[in-house]
Amino acid sequence: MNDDFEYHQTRFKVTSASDSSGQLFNLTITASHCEIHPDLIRHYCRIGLVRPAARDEEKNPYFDDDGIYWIRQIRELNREGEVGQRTLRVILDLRRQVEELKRELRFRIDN
Amino acid sequence: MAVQFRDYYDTLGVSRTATQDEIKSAFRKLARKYHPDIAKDKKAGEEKFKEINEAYEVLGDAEKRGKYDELGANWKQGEPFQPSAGAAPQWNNRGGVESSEFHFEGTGFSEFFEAMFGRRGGFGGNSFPETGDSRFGETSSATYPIDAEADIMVTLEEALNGSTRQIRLQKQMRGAEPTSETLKVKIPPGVREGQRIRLSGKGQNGGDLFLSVHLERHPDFRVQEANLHSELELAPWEAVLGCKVTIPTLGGHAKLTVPPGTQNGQQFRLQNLGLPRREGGRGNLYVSVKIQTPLTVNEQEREVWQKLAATSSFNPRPTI
Repeated sequence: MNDDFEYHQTRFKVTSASDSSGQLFNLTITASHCEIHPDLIRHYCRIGLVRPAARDEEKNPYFDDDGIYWIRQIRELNREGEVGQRTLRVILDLRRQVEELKRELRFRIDN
Repeated sequence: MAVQFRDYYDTLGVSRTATQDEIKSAFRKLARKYHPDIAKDKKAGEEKFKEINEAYEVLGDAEKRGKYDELGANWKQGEPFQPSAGAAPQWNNRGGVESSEFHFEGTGFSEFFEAMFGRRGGFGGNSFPETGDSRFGETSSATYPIDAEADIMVTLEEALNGSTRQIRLQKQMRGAEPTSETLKVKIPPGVREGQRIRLSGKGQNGGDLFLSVHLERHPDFRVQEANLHSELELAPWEAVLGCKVTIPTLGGHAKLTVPPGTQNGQQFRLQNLGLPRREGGRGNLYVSVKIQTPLTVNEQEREVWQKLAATSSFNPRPTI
């Protein structure tokens, strides 16, 4: 896998350090950080539960710390299979919307 | 664990019935006085600025303010305060079964704030129940990794240049001696509000600790993604005739030419003076014009304004 990739016309170097704030991780490293199989992450991407921070020229996904956070959240919700895929999607959508609205509200309050 | 109570109303010098506008105005006034770039005593200013920011973080947010107000008005600044079990940042505490406590230092928030508003393990925040041993009503200790969340306050200067911070994490696991460790946290340039920074293996049972970034409020700039927004106050004649002004930018100053006929609310875009973008380059600084009129005028000034009123052809209400 090529670790150099295009991200909005800017080149990033992907590293594999464990605490590497602000860096991006390839699928294998992300999977090891999330303790799940890479195929499961591919599946999450395919059904739209997670979105990679970037993709390289071969369309391989790369994730940041936020991405790892969301994958681990899905893993927790899905640990015993007690949350169905549709419910999972609703929960994640709502949580992301809440976070986005909080950011927007913070900006508006300050203005 | 008892912490010292913080009177946020006292910190901002406002009453408990203050409106959001009054709170915002008090914050900005104090922030301008104590911002480390401006304060004469930088170290004392930095401490005070953090206190003001924390107070505004709570009182400027309706949800947090409501929770804080529930404590009542009987607490005094610095008094020992014992957070309720529901408020403390404990893990696996559902059902009142205390199993572990985490405390942070160096995140930019006081122990009181952590105790009141600190996040928990599992799904974080207050929106979702915690994972762990109590998920199915059980009370046995969880043995699998559980992630945790906490907040970290980051200055705009850190968001611009990046930094390495040290935070102290104190863990009190059930039936074990408390442990303490110092962690280095790398703040990447261009970090965003709400972005998470992961500390691998620092959660419960080897889970990860996610620090959620809160950008410190700045007296001059508001942040929207990578863009910064600020206000430029102008005298009416400066707006009408145009002028050259020096404006603050993050980490410096810039000269701005205000063209003649500038309107109130007009926005100027200064390219690449915002925060770093992930894809490279920097966001913009948007400067909004706020025309200020004098509250009082002396005799001589009055005469000039009257002369202008008599001779000007300007009609601010052409449709009426």
